[in-house]
Amino acid sequence: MSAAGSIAAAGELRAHGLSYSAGQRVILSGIECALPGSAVTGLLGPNGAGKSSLLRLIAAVLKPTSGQVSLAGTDLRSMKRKVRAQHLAFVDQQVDVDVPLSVADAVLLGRLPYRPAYAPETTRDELIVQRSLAQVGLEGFGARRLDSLSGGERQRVHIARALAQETGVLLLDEPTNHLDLSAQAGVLDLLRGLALGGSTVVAALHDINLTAAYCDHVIVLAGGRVVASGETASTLTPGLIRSVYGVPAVRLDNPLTGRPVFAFGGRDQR
Amino acid sequence: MSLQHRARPGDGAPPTGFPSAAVRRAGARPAALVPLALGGVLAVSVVLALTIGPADISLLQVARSAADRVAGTSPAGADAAALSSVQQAILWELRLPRLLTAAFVGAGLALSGAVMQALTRNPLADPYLLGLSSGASLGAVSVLLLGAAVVLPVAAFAGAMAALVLTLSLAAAAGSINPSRTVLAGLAVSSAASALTSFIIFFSSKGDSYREVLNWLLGSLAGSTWTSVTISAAAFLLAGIPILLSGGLLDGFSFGDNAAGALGLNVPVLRWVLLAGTAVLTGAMVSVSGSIGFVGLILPHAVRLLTGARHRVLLPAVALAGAVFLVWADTLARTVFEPREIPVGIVTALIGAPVFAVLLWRRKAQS
Amino acid sequence: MFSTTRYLATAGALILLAAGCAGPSQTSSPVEPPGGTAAAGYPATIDNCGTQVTFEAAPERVVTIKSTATEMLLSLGLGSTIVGSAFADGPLPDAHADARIPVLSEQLPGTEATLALEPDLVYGGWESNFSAEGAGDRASLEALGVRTYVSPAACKAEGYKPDPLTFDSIFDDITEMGRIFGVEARADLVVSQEADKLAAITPDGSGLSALWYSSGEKTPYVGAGTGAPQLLMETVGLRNVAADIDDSWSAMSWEAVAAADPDVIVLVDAAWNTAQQKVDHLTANPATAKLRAVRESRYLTVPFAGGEAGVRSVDTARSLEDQLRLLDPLDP
Repeated sequence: MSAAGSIAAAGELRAHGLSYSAGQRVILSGIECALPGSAVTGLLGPNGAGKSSLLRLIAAVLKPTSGQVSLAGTDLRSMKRKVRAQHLAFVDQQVDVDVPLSVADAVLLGRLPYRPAYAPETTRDELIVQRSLAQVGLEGFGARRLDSLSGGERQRVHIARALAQETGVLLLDEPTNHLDLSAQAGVLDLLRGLALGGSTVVAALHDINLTAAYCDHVIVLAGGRVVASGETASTLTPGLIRSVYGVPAVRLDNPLTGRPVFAFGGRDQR
Repeated sequence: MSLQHRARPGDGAPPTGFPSAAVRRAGARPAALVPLALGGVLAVSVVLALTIGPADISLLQVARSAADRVAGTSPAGADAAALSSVQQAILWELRLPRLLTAAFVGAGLALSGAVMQALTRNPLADPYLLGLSSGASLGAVSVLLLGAAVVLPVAAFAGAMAALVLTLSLAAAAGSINPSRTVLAGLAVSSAASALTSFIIFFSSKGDSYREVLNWLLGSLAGSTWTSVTISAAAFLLAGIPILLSGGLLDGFSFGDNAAGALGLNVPVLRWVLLAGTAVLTGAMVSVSGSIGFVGLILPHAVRLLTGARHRVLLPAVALAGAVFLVWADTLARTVFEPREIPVGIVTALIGAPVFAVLLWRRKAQS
Repeated sequence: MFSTTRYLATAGALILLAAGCAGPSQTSSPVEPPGGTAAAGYPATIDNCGTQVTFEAAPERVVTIKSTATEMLLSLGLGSTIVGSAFADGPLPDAHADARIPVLSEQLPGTEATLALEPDLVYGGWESNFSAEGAGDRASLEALGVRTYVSPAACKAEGYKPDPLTFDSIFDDITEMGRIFGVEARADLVVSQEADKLAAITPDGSGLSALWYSSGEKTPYVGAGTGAPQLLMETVGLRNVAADIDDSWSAMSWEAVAAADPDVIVLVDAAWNTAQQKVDHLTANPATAKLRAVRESRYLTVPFAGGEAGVRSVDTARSLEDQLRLLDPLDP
């Protein structure tokens, strides 16, 4: 497991010439990008730009049509599934779960990659579950039923599950969807904290201002291609937003945080 | 948010500061006791049900006869509690094999239902849903009426497996296999298999030979023999036990295929292996009992209320609860209208439909 | 209770009642050709299983469904009126072996196939023969000018179903059929011949119990307390182990059969489910193999059509009587 630590520190997660088609439809083509460690990277782009697909390709739950994703120079798809799951954790878009799973049981799933298929969980697994819940601020929630929690709390449970996987890379698809303002801030603060701790955090987001406020790096997709990538402050520009979304934008400075914030005009305004 | 406790990956030592009492997750231990308790209930149920039936045989006589059989002695003729040879046949050739068949069939169907609900993430999934029961019935009815030269369980399994493959191919043909497409494909296959079954019955039954088929379509444990016990027990050992042990893997499916894949599970292979396992189970069970409804649908929901959704605990509990349920449902079926008896499928439907309504209502009330 | 004179009196009274007009001749007379003295008795209205059927004249084109219907017409000398017979339960009895009856279908015919023969009467052995998927429902056929008639012993409605079946009611059915076709004298002759044969039967006096095993392996389908099996067994002195079940036939659990441990088993022999197949099943199943009747091979056999109430019933009873006499006495 020391390998995972060094990978996380090195943060060498890269996509090389990544393409993906569903049947005849090209979803992504020729994606080249680096996802730095100790940072939160935001995946931005209009609906249908391929954000979710890219995230799933990076998580290796989708098979690319061509190209590869490498971690510290190793092709992810050449790794054993379990080993891969010890390096990368993935939090999918929120699915409605109406199975009466307890919070602790949900987080415990993160320990699956560390157990032989038929072995029961160990005391160590249970300790890690407790620790992960504490990290996301849900101490004492272990016995609660997942479907009794608020949307923000549930998202934290999923993140805790990813933490229990003890990976250096954390991938999240729309982690702030359907959350209220304070829950959004809570989740993103949490992700920033993880990045500060050395993790590579990649989140697909659709809110430009949340991205601007919380992400160190940004990758902007449009039509299945990377149209811009780099440090958030220098990459996200009114010109880029206009060309990608077709909406005029003005960049301001948020007096509360000092981070950039964008104000948008109507679609047809000049 | 405090992050200083976050262990780096590779940090082998468990974090400190958690007293062991806090480690014991509340609720986990009582749930784990449920399978044990159900095991006890099953044992008691089988013994009790052994004494219930149209022929009057007391618990004492059962015990005496069992002791005689174990000791290999023939019952003393002068003994008032001794059973006649016909009574012994009733006990050991009719009731016991039937009870054991009921237990294995109940366990197999309930287990199949729980697995299907997990794999399709559809709370309505059961062996009927993916067309397995209908496929198995079609296979079996072909043998019964057309005299196809295959033994019944093999035909039923072949039917179940064919239905499963057809369902999943149909779902895949419409795009990727997802829960709702699988269910729709299952419905289509199920309808087609049922129609074919009806067609065969309609065109080849003669005189009153349809009665046997009807009994069979409604699901009945009447006429269970030690062969039925062997078939159902073998299917349970072969397919049921491995499925029971896969509880931890099934849990990985809780949040969708992508999440499961990201947890290191081989999603397509696991799905196929587990579904094929349920096809073996369903096919074997249908071949000995006909298609008994509602066991695979209701039991997983009811047991989840006791154990929660973790499959490691849920699966053994569901199997045991299914066994207990069918043992008693069949005891009702064979005694309520004695000396007549009704197909047990009618009993399970009569109990199952309202129970399902209550479960739905409870879920609605909770959310 | 089966004396001829008493029967004739009852039958005659019934005819008078049903007809509401001057009754036909009640004396036995030599066989008349079909339709010979018909015109006088028409129109004749008959309450058949609760359906009122009015005959303006003797039917001339009849479709018979099931063996009981075909055999009834044959024994009344009406074979030439049958334009098609269907759904036969088995071969005709020896008495009618040389009858040439056109066969409409092996199974239950559909409505259109039935109507294509342009029948003026469809005569079915079971009520279920008159379904929309079968020969057609009774009201629709009636609307098309086709009369319908169900063997009254097969009526299911309260007040019409056998409660229990008696030979008197079977003989009434023969008489009623004679009236429908205007061959009362021939019907009376048949009735008196059957009644004489019935009176000659000596019931077995040793108090044997018996199971009428009709079909079914997982759950045996047996002759119960109110139908032809009960009547036939009673007539030859057998005590039906399923007599308490209030139905003509019924499913019965093997356990209840085993608990009753009958002395004799009556096996129904059908082409699709032979008596031998039943013996094989009884012997192969370890539970039923322990039954006294199975251990001692104490079986009687009845052809499927003989188990249905009809003009053949007395002969079936006589056959049972003969077979019973040939059985060895019970082992002590």
